Amino acid sequence: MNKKTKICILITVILLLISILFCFVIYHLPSDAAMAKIYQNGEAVYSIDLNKVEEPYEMTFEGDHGEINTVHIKPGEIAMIHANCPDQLCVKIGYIHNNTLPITCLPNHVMIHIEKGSDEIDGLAY
Amino acid sequence: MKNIKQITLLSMFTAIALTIFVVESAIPVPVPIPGVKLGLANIITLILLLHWDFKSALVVLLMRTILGSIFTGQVTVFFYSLSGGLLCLIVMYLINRVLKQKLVWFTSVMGAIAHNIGQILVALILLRSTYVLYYLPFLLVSGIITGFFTGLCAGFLSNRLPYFKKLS
Repeated sequence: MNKKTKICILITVILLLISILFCFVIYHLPSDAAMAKIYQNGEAVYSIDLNKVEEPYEMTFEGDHGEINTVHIKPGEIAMIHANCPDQLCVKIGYIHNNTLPITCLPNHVMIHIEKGSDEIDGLAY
Repeated sequence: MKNIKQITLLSMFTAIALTIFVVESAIPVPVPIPGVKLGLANIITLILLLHWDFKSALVVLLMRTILGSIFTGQVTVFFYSLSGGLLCLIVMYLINRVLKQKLVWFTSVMGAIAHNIGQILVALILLRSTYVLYYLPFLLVSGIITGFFTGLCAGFLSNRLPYFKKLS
């Protein structure tokens, strides 16, 4: 094993470790944010205060080109339970509760993200 | 590219890459992070870079991306594939020159990282939100691991292509 190989292995391992560290930090980051915002094509269309949700409920919304997404809202948590996109990744990610990873439905241009609470109402508020 | 032999080889490699791409898109990914995949079609890009030139790898990559997004029916994913693929190709070309065709797995790992960064850049533009950056570390972990294995595959395969070596 020559010097070049060793350097390459070292760079790869260091990059991998840094990425794993960041993943861990992002996943375990605590959060006091509770305002779930639903974006369509980059615009916030709904914002829901998850602390004020008492009864779990479902909400369906449609896009301009026949995109259909259904979200399920529980106290403190939100999930995409149905989407007519081909990959269904947004459904597989399940419930989110902090402000790091959003639920992203790339084919339908829909994103759900939990943000710090504000009383600004973009669409429906409960 | 007037040589019929070259055109035939390029279309053959496009067909191989496309088949790998379509079959791979049918494999369900166990991780709920958009953009995570095996990237097996990158083996063909690597082989072309190692045995041929940048231009032929670019042609096959573009054809595979365009036809692949049509065949898999995911046209919206086209931009993610294209930007990731192009950035990956450029980085792999540069690293391949620096390493003088050796350590293919490292070239592939760096290419996978470039691919992930390209995807995130397009997501930043399309979704107009910086929150997609939180996906980057997850994509990088999967990219480094899958890139390592596809690089090894390409390395082993390129040693067993004597006929192709002579032709180019």
